[in-house]
Amino acid sequence: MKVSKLLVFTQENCPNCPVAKKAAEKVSEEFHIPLEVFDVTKLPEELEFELLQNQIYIASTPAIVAVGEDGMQLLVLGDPVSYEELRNMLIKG
Amino acid sequence: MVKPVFGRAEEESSREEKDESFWYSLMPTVRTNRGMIEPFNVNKIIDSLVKEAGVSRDVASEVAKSVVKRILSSNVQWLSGPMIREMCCSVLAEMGLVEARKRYTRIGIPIYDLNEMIINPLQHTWNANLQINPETIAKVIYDRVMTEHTYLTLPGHLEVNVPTGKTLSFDTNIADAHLNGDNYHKDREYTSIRDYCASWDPRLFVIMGLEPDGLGGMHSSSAGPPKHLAVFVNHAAIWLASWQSNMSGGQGFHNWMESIAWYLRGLKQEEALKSAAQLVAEMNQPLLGLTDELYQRFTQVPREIIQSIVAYVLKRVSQREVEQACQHTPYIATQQYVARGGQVPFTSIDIGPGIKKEFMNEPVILPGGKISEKYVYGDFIDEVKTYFIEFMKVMYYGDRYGKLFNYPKLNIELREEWMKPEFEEAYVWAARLTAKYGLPYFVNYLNWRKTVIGGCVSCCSHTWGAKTPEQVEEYISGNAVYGAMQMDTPNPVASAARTMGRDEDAFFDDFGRIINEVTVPSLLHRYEVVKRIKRLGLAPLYNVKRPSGKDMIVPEERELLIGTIGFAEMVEIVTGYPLWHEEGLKFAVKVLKFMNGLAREWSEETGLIFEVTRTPAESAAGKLARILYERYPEVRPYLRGKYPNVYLTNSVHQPVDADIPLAERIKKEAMFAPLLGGGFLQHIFLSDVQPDPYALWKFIVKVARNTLTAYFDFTLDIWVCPDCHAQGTFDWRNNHFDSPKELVEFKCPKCGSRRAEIYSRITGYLQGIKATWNDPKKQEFLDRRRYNLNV
Ligand SMILES: [Zn+2]
Repeated sequence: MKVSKLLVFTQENCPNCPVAKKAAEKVSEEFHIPLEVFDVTKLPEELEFELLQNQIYIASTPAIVAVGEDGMQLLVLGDPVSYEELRNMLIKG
Repeated sequence: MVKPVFGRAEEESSREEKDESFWYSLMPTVRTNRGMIEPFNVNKIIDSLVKEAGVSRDVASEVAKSVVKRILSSNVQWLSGPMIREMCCSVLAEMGLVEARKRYTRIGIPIYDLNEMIINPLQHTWNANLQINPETIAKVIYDRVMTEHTYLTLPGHLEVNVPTGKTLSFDTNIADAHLNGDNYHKDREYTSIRDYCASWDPRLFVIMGLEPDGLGGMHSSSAGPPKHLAVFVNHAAIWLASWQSNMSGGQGFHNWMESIAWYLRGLKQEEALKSAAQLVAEMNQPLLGLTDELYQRFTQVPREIIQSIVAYVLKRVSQREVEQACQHTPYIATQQYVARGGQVPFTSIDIGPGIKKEFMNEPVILPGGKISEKYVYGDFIDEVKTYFIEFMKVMYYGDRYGKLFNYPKLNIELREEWMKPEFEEAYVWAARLTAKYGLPYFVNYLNWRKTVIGGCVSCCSHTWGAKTPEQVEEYISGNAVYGAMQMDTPNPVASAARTMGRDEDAFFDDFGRIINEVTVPSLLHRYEVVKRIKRLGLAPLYNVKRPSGKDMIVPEERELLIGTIGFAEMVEIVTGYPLWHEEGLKFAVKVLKFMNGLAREWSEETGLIFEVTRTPAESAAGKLARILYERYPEVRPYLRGKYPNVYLTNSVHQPVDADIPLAERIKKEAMFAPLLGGGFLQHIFLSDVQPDPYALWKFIVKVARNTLTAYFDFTLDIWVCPDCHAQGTFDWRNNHFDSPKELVEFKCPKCGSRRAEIYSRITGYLQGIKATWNDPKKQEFLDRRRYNLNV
């Protein structure tokens, strides 16, 4: 899947969020993919609907979603993730 | 104020009173409720009006006088207590004293109806779980009386003390809202005397033993903790049955595999089993024809080999024991034809082919509650897998005639720790069972639900998860009791009908008003009832202590469910789009979020747990549609089915006849699952005649991983004949029915017997269509679009 955007979901008191966010920022810079960060407790209604339609529900954080031409793909949900791991996910598609 | 007309018998001061006592002497004798014939005594009427109807003595005297006049002027020669009461009620109504009449009236059944109920009880119930037997007649009569009691006594003014310390007060009319179809008040026959549904940990009886009366076994008997597998299974069945008599909804077990694991020990040492099996296979021929020569050979067999054979034989015995225990389970679940009016208890068991990851290193809790120093649950992973397969086989082969077991409902858990090759054989057995009967249900912990700890399912489709560290601890230690206390379903189609042609805000105002003013107080009413039951000790089991010291039923921990129904119809009325259209889906999500917002607010306000859930709606779907049809003619085109068998689509499901591909249907329902915290079950209606189990298993995993689904099933339609014992998957290519009436005419394809039955999933359970489904549900059955999996 060609990734056109990365969505990162975080919230307060989320121990693994800062590392995941950093990893996403680094990957975003490296691959020139735009990045958007959201507080999961304040999701825009439209985005929440779009996620549901793509069978994605952010039940826990950190969460990272790749947006491509044919929809969205959930890369991370609630688990800690490093830069290397995220990079691998993107390369593998 | 009315002048006192009747004095006490001893006061004979006025001429008027003397006249009156003359009139009374003319009155016929009365057949009383005490089973005696007594002389007429007007003071008895007055006293009872004051006490029971709550009117003043003056009013009571006036009513009594009117009644006496009527009796004398009509020259009635036969009087009974009920007859006098009927006349008093008629006078109260004429005087405009409606509330007093409601308090004074008798609840009962016209004798014509009662005669009908005795002869034809199933025509007088919408409960799809009732079958014909004498207990059913008792239940049908009970249901009618208690339902009427509920309608008459549900308070118009309600005050509730809630855990936040507040006293909330509501002016409401729950009964009228139910009769108007604005809010479906589930369990009307039980709301004043019982709690609703529960999922139990079998370790409760493993630790405590079994006393079904909740009174120390004084009225039943007291059994100690089970020490053997067969006793474990027996205790389990009795546990659910005795709770069924104390509750109105389904009873189930979670942590079944962990609880039974220790009882399966000895089934271990698969290696030993294999080598012994090999050895015996080699020695099988000589043993069969045991000549002297061979016997000589046999005795020269080394000692350890003989021991292996002995071990193998013992192993066979223990394996046989496991098989028997497995067989035992569905039989006791479907043969205790005793619960709630001769039904089999509504039971469910959550199982998986292994030990859950959070239990792998936990020490085993032994019978009586001692913590094992030798075993952790993870030690029994092989036994549990063998047991799972045995269980699936038993369910697969069915009863004596190969008929499916419809209880216990098997909830097959899909968990990441078991998505490994070594568990595949076990899971494929579950798929085989699905392919044959559409029996089990799949509980999904592979998607967003992977974070759920302490997950379980109860009743029709309520899913739970531990929310606090304390609940996780209870789940691990065998002390968890999950479940709901009441479900009320606000009818969004009624709100849509009332606000047709106006904007969305009008809809939300109306729908919000129903939830806040009817649904919520109705739920809180059941909370008050359960507190009262506990206080008065009316259901002794509720007050029995768990091993942790907590009462079995803690009203504050029981969930209050706000149900969903008719979203497909509501969305179409409000937005003009079908539910499968993007606009329809968007609005449905908006309504669910709105409901969740209210549930959250009420949880905060009260300190209780409100959740939004799927309503099973086996009765509500038809009842509400029928009311809507009469009350709002403009919504008729939106209702499903054909009058009089109109129905609403269940919950937030896509309409059963929607012409959309299967993958789209699954996804466009699954996307609502995260917004239904109280549970959501999806059905996949199959037209395949026995899909391939391996391919089906792959499909199950695909659905579980790639969609938001929480809980799903595959529904096959099965016919069974009690006369020739033939059965088969229903063939829709060669059968066509124009109406529910034609469906009832279905005959056995083999022997032509009219007693042949068709089993399908009415909602979260299987039941015979001809005998028990109501007509709107039969219509829905005919409308269902079924899919070929092509797998
Ligand atoms: Zn037959």
